Amino acid sequence: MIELHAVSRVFATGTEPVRAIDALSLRVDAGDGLVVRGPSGSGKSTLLHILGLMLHPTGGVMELDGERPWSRTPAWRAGVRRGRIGFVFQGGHLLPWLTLRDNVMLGGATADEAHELLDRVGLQTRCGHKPSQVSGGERQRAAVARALAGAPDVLLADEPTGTLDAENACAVLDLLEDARVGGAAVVLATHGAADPGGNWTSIKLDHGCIVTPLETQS
Amino acid sequence: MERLVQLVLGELRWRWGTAVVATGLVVVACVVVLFADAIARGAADATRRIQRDIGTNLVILPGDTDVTDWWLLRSTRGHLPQDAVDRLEQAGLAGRLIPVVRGSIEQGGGEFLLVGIGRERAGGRRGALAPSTSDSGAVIGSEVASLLELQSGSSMQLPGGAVEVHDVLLPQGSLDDISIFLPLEDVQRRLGLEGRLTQIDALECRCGPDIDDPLAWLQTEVGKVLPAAQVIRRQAPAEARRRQRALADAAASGAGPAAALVAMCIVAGLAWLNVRERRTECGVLRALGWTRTSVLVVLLGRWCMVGVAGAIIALGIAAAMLKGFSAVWWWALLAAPVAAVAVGAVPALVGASADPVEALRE
Repeated sequence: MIELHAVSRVFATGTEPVRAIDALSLRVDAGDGLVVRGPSGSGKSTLLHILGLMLHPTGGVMELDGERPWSRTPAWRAGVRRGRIGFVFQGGHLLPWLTLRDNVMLGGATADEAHELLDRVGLQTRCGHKPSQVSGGERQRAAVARALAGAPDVLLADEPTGTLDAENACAVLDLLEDARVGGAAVVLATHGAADPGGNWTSIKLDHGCIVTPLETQS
Repeated sequence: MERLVQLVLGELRWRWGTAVVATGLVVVACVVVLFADAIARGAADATRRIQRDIGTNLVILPGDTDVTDWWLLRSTRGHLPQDAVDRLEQAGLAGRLIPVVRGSIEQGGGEFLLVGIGRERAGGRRGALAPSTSDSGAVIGSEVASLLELQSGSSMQLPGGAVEVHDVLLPQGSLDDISIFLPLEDVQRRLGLEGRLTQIDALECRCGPDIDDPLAWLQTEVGKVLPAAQVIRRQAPAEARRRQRALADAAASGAGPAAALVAMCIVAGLAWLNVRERRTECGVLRALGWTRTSVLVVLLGRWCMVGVAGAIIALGIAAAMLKGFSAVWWWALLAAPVAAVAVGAVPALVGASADPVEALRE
């Protein structure tokens, strides 16, 4: 589904360019779960932004179902993000003046679909609440629901459990696992020990390179 | 569309402080513009009244008039045909046209002017320029009344028969003080000048080109209608009119645009602050697949709503405090949202074009 061939991303900041991703190759298919681990600054978020078509690689080749998205128009990539890619941000990034239902609808869901998605993440009674009226764990679950709007082929989660307690972190990881089992390719970036379980592949990044060979968790 | 409106209204409610300030600024700008318009219209009316009171500043005389005699005696041996007024009115060369027949008479040992004044033409609806005459008697100047010991209701002898004094004018400090005013046809009959005029008084209009020598232009143009007619233009009242109009125009044209400009600058500043506050939101929407245009519409929707709300409130205030609608009201209703969107456009474009990755990192 998504293939990276020796992809690099260099940020030209300051006097010395920063190589956030360095000749990284990987492949993620439907139903795959990939945990990207590494310390802060290792390139996890950059990798997710590249996979989410938000950041142009400065080297290498990226393919999405055989197409090269960076040779297409911005509107085409926006359409792919809207229709095929779901994004869960660290902290949720829900719009504070919208209810949880309306936030889920921002992802492209209808009102009924938004209700159904919030039901799936256990927030059926919180549909009309604003983000400030629910807990951090509930906000993050609502963010997962928003990412699941439109049944995306790819689900990208950037530190989705970073600010959650163990119980809420577990609930969010279960949702990601459900999405993977449902057929989505799920990529989870974390600097902690988040473990979604199941048949997930794990890689460790350091300075934009994979330093730990691919392994499959049991 | 419904979702867009919901998104915009939700954001306005959330950041109600800046929304109220921005709407208030639009209201103030619109109200100042509307009040400036009302003041300008009032000033224009006042200017018209003042200029009417200054009196006419053009005199059109028969071609064979000896101008020196006319200045000395205010009478001429020559005559204009009565239809000269119609021809001048059709040519549109003057703002007001007053047909006059005038002759001097001796009465009670004194010499007076017998003046017949016809119906005012070309814009005569805004109040008479000449002393009004009455079908029921003569209107006489204060010196006439004093010398002949007359008052309202008295009977006075005139060539062609006695006439009752209808009114006595207060001292005017002009030839009016030694004049006896009667309807035009009455004086024509008494002086044996039926169908003829001795002069046409007129008010210079702003219909001519902006030239250094308006008298020469008038003389030429009047000559096309009334060959050989002479034109006397009183420079002082003409210049006083021009300066008064310029003053009224300047006062009217300054306040509204100045208020609109100040409000637009402040709203533009608020728009920049708003976009800075919303960078993360823009990044989230772009990450969720919203196009740059969609994000731009969301950002501009706020300023459109602020403009519409401000204009409606301002019109409500103006309706409560001012009399009479004018076209400016509808322009304000249209211009306020357009101006608000215009000043919000650049910040919104910058916000919508921001790199979503950088915005999310903030």
